[in-house]
Amino acid sequence: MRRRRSEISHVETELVEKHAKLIHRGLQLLPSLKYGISGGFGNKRWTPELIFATYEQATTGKPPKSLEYKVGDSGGGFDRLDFKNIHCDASFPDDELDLSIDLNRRGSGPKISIPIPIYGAGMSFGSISLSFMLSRAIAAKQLGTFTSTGEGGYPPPLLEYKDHVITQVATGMFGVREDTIQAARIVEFKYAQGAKPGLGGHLLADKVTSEVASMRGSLPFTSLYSPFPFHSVYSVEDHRKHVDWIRAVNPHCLVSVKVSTPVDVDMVAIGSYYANANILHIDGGYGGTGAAPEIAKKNIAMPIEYAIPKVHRYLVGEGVRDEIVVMASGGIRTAYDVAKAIALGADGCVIGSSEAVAVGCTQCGNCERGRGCQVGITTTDPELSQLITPEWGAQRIINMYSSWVKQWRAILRSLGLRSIRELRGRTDLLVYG
Amino acid sequence: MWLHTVCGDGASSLLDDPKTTRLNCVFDPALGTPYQRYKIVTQPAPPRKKLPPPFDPRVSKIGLARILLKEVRRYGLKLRKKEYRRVLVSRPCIYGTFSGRLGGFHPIKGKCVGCMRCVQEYPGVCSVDRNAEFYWFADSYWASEGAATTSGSPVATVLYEAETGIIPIKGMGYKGPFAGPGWDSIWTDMSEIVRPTRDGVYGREFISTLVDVGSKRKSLQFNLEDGQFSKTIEVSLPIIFDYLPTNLNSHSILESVAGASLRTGTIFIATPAQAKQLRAVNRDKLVPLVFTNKLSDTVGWIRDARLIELASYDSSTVQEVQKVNPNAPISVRLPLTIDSAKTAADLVRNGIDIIHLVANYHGQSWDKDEPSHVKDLIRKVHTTLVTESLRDGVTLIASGGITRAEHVPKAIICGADLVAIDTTVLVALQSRFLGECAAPESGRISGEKFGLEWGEQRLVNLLASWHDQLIEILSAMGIRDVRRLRGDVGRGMFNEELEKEAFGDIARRN
Repeated sequence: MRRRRSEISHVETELVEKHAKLIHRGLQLLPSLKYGISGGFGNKRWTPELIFATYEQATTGKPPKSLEYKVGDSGGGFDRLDFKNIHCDASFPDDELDLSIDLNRRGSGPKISIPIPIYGAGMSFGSISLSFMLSRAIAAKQLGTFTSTGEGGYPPPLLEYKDHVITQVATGMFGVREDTIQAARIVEFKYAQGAKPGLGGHLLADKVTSEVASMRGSLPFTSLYSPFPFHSVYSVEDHRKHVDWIRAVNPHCLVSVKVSTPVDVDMVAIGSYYANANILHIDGGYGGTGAAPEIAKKNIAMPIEYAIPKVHRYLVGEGVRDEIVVMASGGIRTAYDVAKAIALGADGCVIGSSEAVAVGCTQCGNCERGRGCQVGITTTDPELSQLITPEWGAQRIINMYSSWVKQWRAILRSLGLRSIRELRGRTDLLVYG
Repeated sequence: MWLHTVCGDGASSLLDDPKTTRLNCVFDPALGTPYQRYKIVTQPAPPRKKLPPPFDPRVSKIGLARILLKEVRRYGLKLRKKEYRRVLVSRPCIYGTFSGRLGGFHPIKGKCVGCMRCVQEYPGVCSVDRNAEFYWFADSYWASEGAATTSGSPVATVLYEAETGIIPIKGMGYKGPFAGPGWDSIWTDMSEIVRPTRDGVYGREFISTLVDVGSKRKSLQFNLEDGQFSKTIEVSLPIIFDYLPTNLNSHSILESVAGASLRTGTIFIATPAQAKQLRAVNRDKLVPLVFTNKLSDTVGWIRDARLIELASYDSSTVQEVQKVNPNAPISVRLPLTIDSAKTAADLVRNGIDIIHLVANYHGQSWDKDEPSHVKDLIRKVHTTLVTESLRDGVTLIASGGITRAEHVPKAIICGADLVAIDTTVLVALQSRFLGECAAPESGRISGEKFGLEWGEQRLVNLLASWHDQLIEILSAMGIRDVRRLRGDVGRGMFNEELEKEAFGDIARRN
């Protein structure tokens, strides 16, 4: 009987391995375009070529030679911005080009800097598989940057990477515990998110497995709602109280504040500065990795391309820009999008979807349907989750960022800059149209 | 101060009707009357005609046979065991596209959701294309966003909403163009901290979508001698059904519209000739559309109406209508052109209670040279009326090109009080367009006969979904009453303005 059980388990493993191997092979083959491009791939923002280009970068660690890897086809924003051709092409060696950014620009608190101008966006355990979560954490550790828990708690395997994991505190307080706040170097308050601004979060019942429920202190297979907003915050003073609360629990952490992009995003930014936040994370309306109402994604809150210069200029005008770090997210897909966001006024960017694409996401948008993601990213299905192994996923994310590093260096050289920090707010280096 | 919930306790006959729209009744013994919160009751209404599938998965039969042979060779005698046969026939689709008896040799197109896993696993053998037929269900206006947005296309969205009555939800961010002409050049505001109320989990529970349709006096006046009280009727949500001419209408469509109006607390516009075909029970929410030259035939309808719409303005017709029914507010249809603002102001001065701003079905004005989008003209009319201190005395209805839920709050932000929908009804009821349908007289449809309950439920579902989406938008802004949104352009973000503000100092590409 025991032998039979072990054989079944062996076959199950073989079944998963068969499909995993085929998917991984496919991610290498598709960018060659040997088999053409199936018309079902992609959309205006993530064109089929951009998806394949990301697959290729995640495989090779280099920018593709024959695929469009810089822009999509949305007809606006980053897709209409470009860098000026100033024919500088300085020959600075790689080690003289500085891509690092500081995450604390205030006089007090720990100094943390990351060697590349990005860190990983919050995606909660439950909305994504543990394998993908671990892939991101391993990659963040190796790259010396961060990833974020999202609002879903801290699965124990993640503790090993705690120095590179941002703990998110959101309105549902799912998985928020004193020890996870104390373990974190950065704690992020999520006031709103770009994909569903002003609407709170919703994890569908199918995804709330017993592991997810246990992490969140809830019942299995019951829909979980994160209400909106924090019912304890109705003013900048309340906001400050929140930040102080976190600092009381962990005096050695940096505090990030994640907000969306309303009409008065500049006021929100200055409010966050006065609330003593170290990082202002503005999340534009077009991003998001989880399921969200279509009406919210498309229509509520302004695109990040418009929000960044508004916030940057206002903070400059108020004379506080150099005391707060502005991280941008929400539809940032490529190394070029990151560089353009920085030129518009951000210090760096927060990346979610691109990491998912690196491990095989097709941007099909079926994350919330049935068993969840068919390639094991946004799912808690035990079988599908195994299609990604943490090490394989991490390597692909690292490869993608290695390619991005090459592109950032090329951009800096072409503009005659030595540091990505020098690019911040340099709209004079951009062209539009 | 709501004390006891008595839903289902027989407090009101309305509550016993499973189709009723007013549920969640709470009873206040001090008042002795039930408090009824507005809620539209939905039920699934699957498509009556099979829709073309959105995706077209294909598998090379020779390629698949080769794969199977290779695997048979690999597993050999192991295949005597069931578990190994499972590995052999396991398919690269979790949605059942290859779950038929012939597996990959005969994919079930209707089950494909475009996840592309089969293409990832077998790029040389499988391909998945978008089915162009799916996107051409209606006309060019509906297909404007094209195949690139997949199931988020306007047609697919309305069909989904009419079937389920729920809010469409998808993963992995927005997938369409950055911005577009017309409605797609507006984003709506949100608030990081402000809620409609501090009650309830979200505050959504107490958002009102009720609108007053008619004219109001500008100030509180006592001892009115002329009997000119405010002439308004209440509509539970700012969406009504517009008139559809005979070439775009049928008995089934008409009865469905009338029944849905009754169940959702909205109103519908139809000619008396159309209304005669209706069952008596479905005439309650009728707004008779009166043509000047046919006034004598319609006196009975005017007398019984709670609101009357005139096809065009004519002072003597207005006087005659007022004589027959002095209490009903009068609406006048005003085809939108570049000059509509001045005409609208004149109509208000002439005592018209409601102006129905009518664009064509593609959301464009009727100007022959350089037609404008309906949103720009609503703003112009609204602003002119505000400037001339006339705005609060009139209700503005906007129609033409309102095809998605987000168009409702956007039209209201631009200055309308409520909107009327037209061709959206036809798409929800699966009436296929025969050619372009930009103007009432130019369009034709097929598939007009169907079960009335089905049609009614489809439209109820559509309105329920749009109502919930309107509440999502209001909730995000922290607004608890849709009437407060009217003309509040500060709650909208307009692409032209944002582009100028953000990128104004950036050099243009040569």
